[in-house]
Amino acid sequence: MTYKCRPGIVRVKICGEYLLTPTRAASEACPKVLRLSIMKAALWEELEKGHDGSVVVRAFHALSRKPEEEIRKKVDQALTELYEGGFIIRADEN
Amino acid sequence: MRSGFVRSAQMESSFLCAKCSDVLLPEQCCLIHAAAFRDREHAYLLAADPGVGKSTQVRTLQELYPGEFSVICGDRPALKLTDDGRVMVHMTPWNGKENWGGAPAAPLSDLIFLKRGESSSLRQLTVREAVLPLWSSLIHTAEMEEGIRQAAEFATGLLSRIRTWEFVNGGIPDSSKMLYEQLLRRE
Repeated sequence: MTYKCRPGIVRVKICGEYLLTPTRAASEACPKVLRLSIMKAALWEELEKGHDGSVVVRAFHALSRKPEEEIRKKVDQALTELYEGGFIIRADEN
Repeated sequence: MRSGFVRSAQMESSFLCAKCSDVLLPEQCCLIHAAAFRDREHAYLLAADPGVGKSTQVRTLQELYPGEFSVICGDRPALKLTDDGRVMVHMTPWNGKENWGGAPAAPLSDLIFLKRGESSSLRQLTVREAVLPLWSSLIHTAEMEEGIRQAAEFATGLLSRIRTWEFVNGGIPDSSKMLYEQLLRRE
């Protein structure tokens, strides 16, 4: 499944911490604010560019030297959490 | 809320308050949901969800230490980041159901996040720990992405200038005395 950022979800940085926060319009579908882990922050940046999670998988694999499959599972989990929280939507959704 | 449709006076007041903040944010000023009080030199903010006991704490401090504390704004004061690195706390018309306020503006020393708990405690927060509770206390409409980014910039400026605390109220008046002894008392 491919995803994209929900319109109206804004990534902000406060004292080095990244948050996802909704505009008023987006808050009906996504009422929460989320503090981003490093992985989710990297994922969001790629999703904003229209990419999928594979760039993040490769980057984390290169940095951590952990098996790519292990990283991929974590990226997929992060994507699922972002989707279930309403911050991202399926690429074919409006 | 659809344009032109207001359900209650309270909602109208909240919306106006948030709109006011939107206008002020480009000037490095923002409203916050907190009780603002002061001593001779400094201001303090007590932030909490409605009903947790902000007003009760402030009232108790005034009763326990007569003449030491006055209220700048009971519900939604305005904070201004000044060029000299301070944060000034100002009164606004949104001063709560007690209609508390009127003390002169003062430089902010500490922002205290109040919770209820089994036993009283006071703990200084790291900047990282303070980000989320501060974000939920700042008032703005979030109608536009630009306004949200300005609010985030304001939050960054604020957290770089003051101390923040988690204050757990395990019971009045002991918690108020603890707050005074550990934080508010000035020699």
